[in-house]
Amino acid sequence: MTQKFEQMSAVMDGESNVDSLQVNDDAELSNAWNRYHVVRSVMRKEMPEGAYMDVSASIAAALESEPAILAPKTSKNSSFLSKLSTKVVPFARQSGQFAVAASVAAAVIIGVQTYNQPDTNEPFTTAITTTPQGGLAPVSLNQTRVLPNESKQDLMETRRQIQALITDHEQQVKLKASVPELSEEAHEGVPSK
Amino acid sequence: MLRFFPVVLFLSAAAFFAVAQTSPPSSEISPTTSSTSQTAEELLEQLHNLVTENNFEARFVVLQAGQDAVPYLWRHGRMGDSPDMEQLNLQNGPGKEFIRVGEHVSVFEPDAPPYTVVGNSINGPIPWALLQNQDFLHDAYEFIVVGRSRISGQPAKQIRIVSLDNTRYSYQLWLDEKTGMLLKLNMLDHKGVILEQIQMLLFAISEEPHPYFSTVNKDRLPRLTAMPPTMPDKHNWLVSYLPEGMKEIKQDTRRLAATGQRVEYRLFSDGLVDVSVYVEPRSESLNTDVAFRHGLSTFLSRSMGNSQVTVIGEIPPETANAIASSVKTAP
Repeated sequence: MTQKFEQMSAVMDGESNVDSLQVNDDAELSNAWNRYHVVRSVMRKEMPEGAYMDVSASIAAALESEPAILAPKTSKNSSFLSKLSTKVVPFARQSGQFAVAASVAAAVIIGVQTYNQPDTNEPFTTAITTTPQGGLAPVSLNQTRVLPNESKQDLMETRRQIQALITDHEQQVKLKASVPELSEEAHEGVPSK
Repeated sequence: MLRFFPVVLFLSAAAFFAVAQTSPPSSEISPTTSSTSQTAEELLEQLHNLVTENNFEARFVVLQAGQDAVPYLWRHGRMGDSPDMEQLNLQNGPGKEFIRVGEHVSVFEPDAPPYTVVGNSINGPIPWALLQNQDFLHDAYEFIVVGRSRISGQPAKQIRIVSLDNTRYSYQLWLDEKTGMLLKLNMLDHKGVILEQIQMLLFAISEEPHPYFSTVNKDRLPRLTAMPPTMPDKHNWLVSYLPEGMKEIKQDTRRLAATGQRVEYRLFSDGLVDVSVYVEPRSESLNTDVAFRHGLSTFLSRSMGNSQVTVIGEIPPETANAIASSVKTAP
């Protein structure tokens, strides 16, 4: 019994020379196979975010063992009070269920909202915010502003400066490994940078 | 029974990791490495010997999220007593070719005249310090053998590469068990999202060097490029924070090729990533705070006092910000 798990574990660790292991034919073994790989992935931090775990089997089993209640008992010679209570209790129960459902929905909405928030921990903006952009409100033509030429130029200038820095960085990294040679024999093939 | 016990241990460990994902990696789970006989150090040495001593031809692709795959051809050859030769060729579009003969690397690009620089390795997508098994990598990163899996049809040893102070992106490396060749290299951010992936497609060692190498006419390669002279004056600022194991490898004052702007420049490297720090007079530069991702690189520029400090490199934005904030006037 434990021997087959032992053997499978050995195969996974590359310590066994067994050529074939009938995992598919054995539900128990195939479950363990699946589980071991999940465990291994988690330990190596290879698990993708939101990894899929098959819990359908356990849910099905839980539903299976759930006792089925079809109808509450009502005694025939019941008093008015008990009659009332049998009517009220289901109503109260139902409204309780509504309340639970509503609060779950609210929780989901809040959850969605917080998930969709931009990450406030991120201390940076990803866009260059030097000048206000024109045409932000397309509803009214009056709202559409034409950027003054000056700030347009500023924006171009910013872009140019950023590009110059990035190009220079890439150039430096490219030439990093090389030892500076004192200008002995420069020739025409030298890149101008 | 004996083998079953560790599995139970794994399960509880896994449950722990699933709950506390921010917990420090590796050290607690080192039992998994017991089955692997070679240390990470030995495996990297094997890789180094392979790529410097053997005749081989390899093809691999470089993948980045949301971008086209970039395929490369990579060959290495040793012919008699002459210096060894290496070729790296970008296979898509107009292409790009690197040829290394001994200590000279010639670069042929479509949009620039060819040139030759001094270097003992080609500066391609695979970090050269990794292929060269440079000791200084261990000042910045921890190498952990985490087991084996199947990559490119071969059983492969997997190594995790994590920066010691967790300020840089991490890597996963798979090496062929038989030959020691690099089969796959993933670069990951802190959430485990793959930023860049290098996947080997084809790899073959041959007895004789590839016929291509005999067609290379060494006399026709571009002559050695003179590096532009640098102004050797000392800067009056210093970077007081650097990630562990990152060292200054260059310092100069230059003019940017595109704008002619005068900049004070320092280049830092830990062997896997390079970080540039620029300091310019504030009034002559961006004069604002800017930060964005450019490919794998972070571009971060801040106005500080009379200066504009810019940090560019393949590091997380948090780390770039920490470096930029630590720039101070030298006492």
